[in-house]
Amino acid sequence: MPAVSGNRSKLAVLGPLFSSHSPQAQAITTLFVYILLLAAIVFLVVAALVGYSIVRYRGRVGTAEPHPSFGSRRAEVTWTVIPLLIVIALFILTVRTMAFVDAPERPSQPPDVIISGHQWWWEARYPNGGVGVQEIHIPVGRRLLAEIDSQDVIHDFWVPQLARKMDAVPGRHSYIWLEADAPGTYQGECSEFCGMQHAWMRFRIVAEPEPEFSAWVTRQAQPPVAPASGVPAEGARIFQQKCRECHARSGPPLDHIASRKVLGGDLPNNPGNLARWSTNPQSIKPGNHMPDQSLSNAETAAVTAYLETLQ
Amino acid sequence: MRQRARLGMAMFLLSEAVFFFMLIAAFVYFRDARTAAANLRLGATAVYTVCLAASSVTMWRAAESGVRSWLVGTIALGAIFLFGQGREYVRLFHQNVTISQGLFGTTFFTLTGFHGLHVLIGIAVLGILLRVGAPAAMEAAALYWYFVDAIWIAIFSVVYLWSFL
Amino acid sequence: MSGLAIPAEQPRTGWRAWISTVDHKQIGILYMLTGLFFFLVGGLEAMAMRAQLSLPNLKFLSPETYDQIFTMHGTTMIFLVVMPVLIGFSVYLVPLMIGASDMAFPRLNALSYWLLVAGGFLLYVSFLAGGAPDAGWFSYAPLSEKPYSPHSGMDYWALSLLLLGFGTIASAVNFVVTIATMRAPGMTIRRLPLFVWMTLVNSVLILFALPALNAALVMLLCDRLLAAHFFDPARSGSPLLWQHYFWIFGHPEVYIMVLPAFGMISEIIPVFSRKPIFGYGFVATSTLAIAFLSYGVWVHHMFAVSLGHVFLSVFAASSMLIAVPTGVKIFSWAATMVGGSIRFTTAMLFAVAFLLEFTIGGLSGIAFAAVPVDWQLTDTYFVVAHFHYVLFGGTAFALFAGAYYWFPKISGRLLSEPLGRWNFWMVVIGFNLTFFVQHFLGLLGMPRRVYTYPDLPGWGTLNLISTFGAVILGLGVLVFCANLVASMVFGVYAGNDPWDAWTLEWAAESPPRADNFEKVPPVRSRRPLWDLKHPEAADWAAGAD
Repeated sequence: MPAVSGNRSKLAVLGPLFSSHSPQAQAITTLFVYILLLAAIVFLVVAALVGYSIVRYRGRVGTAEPHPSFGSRRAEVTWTVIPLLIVIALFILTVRTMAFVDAPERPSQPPDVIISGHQWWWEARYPNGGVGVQEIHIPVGRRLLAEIDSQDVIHDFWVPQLARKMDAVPGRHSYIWLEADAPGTYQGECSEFCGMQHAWMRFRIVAEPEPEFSAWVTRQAQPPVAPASGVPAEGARIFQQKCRECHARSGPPLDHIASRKVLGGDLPNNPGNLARWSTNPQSIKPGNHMPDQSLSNAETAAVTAYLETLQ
Repeated sequence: MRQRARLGMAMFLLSEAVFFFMLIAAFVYFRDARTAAANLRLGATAVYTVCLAASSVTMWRAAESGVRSWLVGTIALGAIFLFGQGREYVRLFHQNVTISQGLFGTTFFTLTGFHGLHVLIGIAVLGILLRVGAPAAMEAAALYWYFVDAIWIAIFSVVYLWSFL
Repeated sequence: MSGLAIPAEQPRTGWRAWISTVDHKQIGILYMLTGLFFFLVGGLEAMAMRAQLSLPNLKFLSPETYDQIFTMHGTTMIFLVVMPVLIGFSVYLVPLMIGASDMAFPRLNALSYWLLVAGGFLLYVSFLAGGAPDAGWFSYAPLSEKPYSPHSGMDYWALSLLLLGFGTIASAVNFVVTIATMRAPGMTIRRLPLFVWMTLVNSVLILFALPALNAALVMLLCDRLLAAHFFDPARSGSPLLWQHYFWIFGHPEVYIMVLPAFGMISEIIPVFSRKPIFGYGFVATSTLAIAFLSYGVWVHHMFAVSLGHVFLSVFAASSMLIAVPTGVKIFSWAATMVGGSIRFTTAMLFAVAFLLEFTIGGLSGIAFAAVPVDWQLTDTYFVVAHFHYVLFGGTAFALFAGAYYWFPKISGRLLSEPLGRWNFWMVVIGFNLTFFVQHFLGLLGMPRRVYTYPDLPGWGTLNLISTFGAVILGLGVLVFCANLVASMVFGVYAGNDPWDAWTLEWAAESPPRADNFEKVPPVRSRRPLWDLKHPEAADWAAGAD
């Protein structure tokens, strides 16, 4: 089961909005709670009015027609002005929260990470050249500027416990603040229908202390070491022949696939699943752009062994 | 009866105005005056524009007087306009400017193409009216014809005049 | 219209009469029945979706099939159910309510209906022609463009919507001219029944909104079929342009789908509260405000795109503002009941339920107007809950109310009240079970338009409850259909005016004669039949005209 970090309080059972782990997400939740309370009050007023009428003014057989009354200016003005005032207050709160939560539309600093959506996986590129696939690491307690874009159709980057969602529109660069106040793994998902495997375009944000984050991002930037001999070397040869071209051109980079926790959106990364994915990805994520491979059992074992060396 | 036909046509034309406005807006959004000026011919198109404007006058005369020849004149002028559009299209195709050439081709052909289609439909309706005249229908058709003409003035201004400024 | 008169010899009975009819009553019935048919089809699509989603990781429907079904469900419910049924009620009732004998353009009326049939057919034929459209009912580019949706389903979608759009625009033209020029003497604009007023305002909305969709569809077809580049980011086109154009149509569209329903509620609640509507003027004016504002809110469907704070704030303001005239209506309807003598017919039950459900839907809408909240909740099941509350708990409930209210006029018989009770309670319980829990699913983070989901805490349980609710809802709808059929055969005869109502249609026979009225009653106020029945307490004498 994927971990959902930071169950701060019993409210967390209501969902990620109630276990926020960043100032931005917290501010949004606060605004939402105000609106929820407001909505509850308005609904109760309407329900009370209706409920009262149903009981008190129930027609009884034989009663005469009620005296026609056509309205009341005072009532109408009241129930126009009061909602108007409420709406104005809500608007002010909204604008202030927007300013607090959001990154500038055109920031003056370069991004700390560039996150790209592809059908149907996410990648994160760091300034040192390191690339994360499906698993995006960030340092705890430091606010990053993340650039969001898409390499094909419109996607949406959403990690509810940490940040607002942001549409990834091809041809546009968009920016969000990304920070976590506690270490842990945070669930993320694509939030704009992007085709057949939109449902499994899920990802994780892993927040870790600075030293660990540094070490991870350095490792991600290092090229993979080619295995010298044995089954993995054989696997490397098969990989070179059958897999490298597509993965270099459009598929996710696999240089550090063995260090990822999850494959294909939600499958635990272990040798068994890796073997299954390598040969029969359509059975796991039907419609994804990787076709099923015709590899013999021996070839599969070799390729898997090779991939397992790519930490 | 005639009031209803007029009002009905006016309401329909309101919706058509929105339709053309959206297509014109797309042209303006993707506007590329250089490509437009390089590929379009202002002079020739201006001549055909005058023909279409004249056809509104003949249409007005046809609706007022009910005399057939004014209606025939309108149809003829409309046909000349379409002929001119056709020549422009063929010339552009020979220069490899098609709807898929790029944003200019895309917006130009869509906008002028739908306008041309409306002119064609108008000519067809006028043709029917030549055979089966009815005052209410004639008035409504006249409104349609003026509208199609007015839209062309707008398109001509935005696509041609503005690009050549 | 002299040279092209309708032929005098028209078949009187049988299917030939129905196919060739230009009578607004028959056309209205055709609209309603066609809408009901597609409601059942769309309902089956919904049941298939709910079945697939009832538990995590199910493989009942492949993602390919699921994507087609959810696209068709949305497209069907909006264009082949809600709009036709609303237009059908308007086509049937407006001439009767204004004392006319038909619509201004009867043949255009028939054409509008047959365009509906053609559009519906074209949309569904796509299943047999390589696959139904599968990019969602709002078909965002570039997913909807050729490289990402190579098969022809999207072309069928666009073409069928164009056909349907023409028909709808034609209906709108017809309504405006009918209401403007064919009112009975004495029926000034200020004395219009609110259903007619809402139809009029709605028609103007249609005239301005549908062409925007037609333009977008035409542009999409040029991209797909002629290799144009409107929305193609690879050639400097703009996917966002599609979104703007679509929502410039799409937002007024949701009001198009609700204003006539507001009109129905405005007729039904007063009659069963035995009091005139509270604040006719305010209700009518607020309708104009809503219509006007509805053109200025569309970007709230795009808040998750980085469009700049100033721009987004303007639309946040307008989206919050539009809640005020909507709220005015809710309060007016509720206030109508206060001091009344309420009769709980099935129509009234649905109308009262409408008040509460629509309020919930409206309030969840306000949450989305608060931009940062939208930044968390848009594209989740929270928004699915929101729009089903306003469209089903709102419009569909109003349609049920309207069905129970006007069925006697249309058919001459009353719908069964006992069956109506079963219909009502199953639908209310089923509806709320299905959709209330979806608010929580959205808060839990479940995105929309997913064919399945991971086994995260609560997701499976809530989805199962929602599916269970959908089954009850579906059965409630079937009870309604059974009521229709049974009442046609066994229903009690209704007479002209079973509800002791006040607007002109109740002066006609049930069902009305071919030219509607032998003699139109005099109109001196908003409630002409009240004035006739209560000359000593006539509205015009009380100064309320």
